[in-house]
Amino acid sequence: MAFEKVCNLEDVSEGEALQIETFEEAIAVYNVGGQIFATQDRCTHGDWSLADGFLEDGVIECTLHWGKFCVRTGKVKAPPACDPLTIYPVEVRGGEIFVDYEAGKVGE
Amino acid sequence: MQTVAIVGAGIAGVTACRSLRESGFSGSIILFGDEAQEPYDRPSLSKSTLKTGGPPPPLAKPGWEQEFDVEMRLGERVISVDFHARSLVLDRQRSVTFDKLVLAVGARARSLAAARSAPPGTVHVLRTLADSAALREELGAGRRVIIIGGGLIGCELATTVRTMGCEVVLLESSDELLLRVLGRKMGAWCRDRLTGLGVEIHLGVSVTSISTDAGVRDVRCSSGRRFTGDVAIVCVGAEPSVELARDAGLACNRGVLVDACGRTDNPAVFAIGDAASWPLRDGGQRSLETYLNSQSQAICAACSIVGRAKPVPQIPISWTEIAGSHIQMMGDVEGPGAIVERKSPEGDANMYLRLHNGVIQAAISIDRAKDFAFVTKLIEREFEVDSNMLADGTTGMRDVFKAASRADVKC
Repeated sequence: MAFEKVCNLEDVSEGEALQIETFEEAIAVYNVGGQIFATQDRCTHGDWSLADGFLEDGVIECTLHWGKFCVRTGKVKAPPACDPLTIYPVEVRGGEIFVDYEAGKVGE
Repeated sequence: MQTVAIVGAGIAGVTACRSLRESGFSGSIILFGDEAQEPYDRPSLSKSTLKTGGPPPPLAKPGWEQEFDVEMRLGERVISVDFHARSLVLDRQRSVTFDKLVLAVGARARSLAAARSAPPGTVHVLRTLADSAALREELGAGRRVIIIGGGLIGCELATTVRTMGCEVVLLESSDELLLRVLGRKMGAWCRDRLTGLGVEIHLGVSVTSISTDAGVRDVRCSSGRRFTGDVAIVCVGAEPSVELARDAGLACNRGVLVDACGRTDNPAVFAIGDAASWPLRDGGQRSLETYLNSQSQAICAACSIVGRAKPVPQIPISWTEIAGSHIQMMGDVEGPGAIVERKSPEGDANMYLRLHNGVIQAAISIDRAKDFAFVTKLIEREFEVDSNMLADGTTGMRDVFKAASRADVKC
């Protein structure tokens, strides 16, 4: 368990997603109504950044083929994606966002 | 217990199975597919699957039929429908009864008169995994490939086949590529890009005969021009497969006619995907032959079947990959209003938007997937946008969307 700082809270405004490239695989950090979540950034269907996608009601829509995932659970919400996302534990402390990359696990 | 039979195991049929379960349907689901393979992703057939020879991406995870409790009958062809007995006829001995039927039978490659009279094996078409595999067998560095038809599949194939090291000749009967789906400007843009890739393009050539002599394909045109090569591929569009529906007496007109809930003129029968002629949001109805509309129609029909019918008139939406660019389109680019060009800071147009009464009606995007995601929402929600902001390529579409949604809330 090692939480590492990935960005400041102000870097991801509400309804936005941000790509973080500090780890082996890129992750995406989301701000859903003030709550922060983190998933793998690469869509499980095609090689595409989810942080570039459309975030609404806690669901990220990939802009390549419009697969959708729940950013909280990693669950597939719309095909053509079949496989869930890896999700990462997040902590927000003093306006900074920390992610435990090693503790990432495949969602539902 | 109710039985829903779904004929066709492409994206429409498979999505319908999943959506029925997700909508709480507890009866039995039987899915028929006339190909023996597990359901697979068709868009890759002209791209990665052709290039690498690897398997196409599956449409669902292994074991999905257990998870969704679907009886899969792959490699089985339904030959007719008996509405009176509510049964699907498989052959002389066997039939399967249903309470509700979903026709997701897809489309087939349109044929060309000149190709019909050619000896068997002279020309390829591309529709199935078997077609893609058969074509791949004949490709290789230095092979000369003649592609007849400069629509989406023709241009995608020209890209893939060229990057496999083949010489490519692309023949189109009208005066520009991709006119029907992308319009003249984008057609010319793609032509430039394909030419840059080394594809030899001939416009305004109408093929009158295709023959083969000692393995050499000989393609003759009405102008007297003649093209020879090692491989000939005909890509002149698709025809919705309506035979099952038409023979059973359902109304068809280049597609099985349905309402915006997917219902045919028989209350027990629905049609979705390429085979369905579905009402459009902006008027009229037609078969859309796209992946994303097929998905949307499948979800809509599943809701109708479980008693939660909600009309979903369609807006055409699709994507293609031509000459290394990811092109996305939504709506019909031809229509009332004016075209707004969005340019990159370097001055290259990367998005064409048709704006009518302040609302985006259609858009084509070139390698701008992130911006396009917001454009699709603007088109769906019919938000009014600021045309200056739209034309300004330095303003991200995320900001245009946010400004438009704020303005929409105010009124």
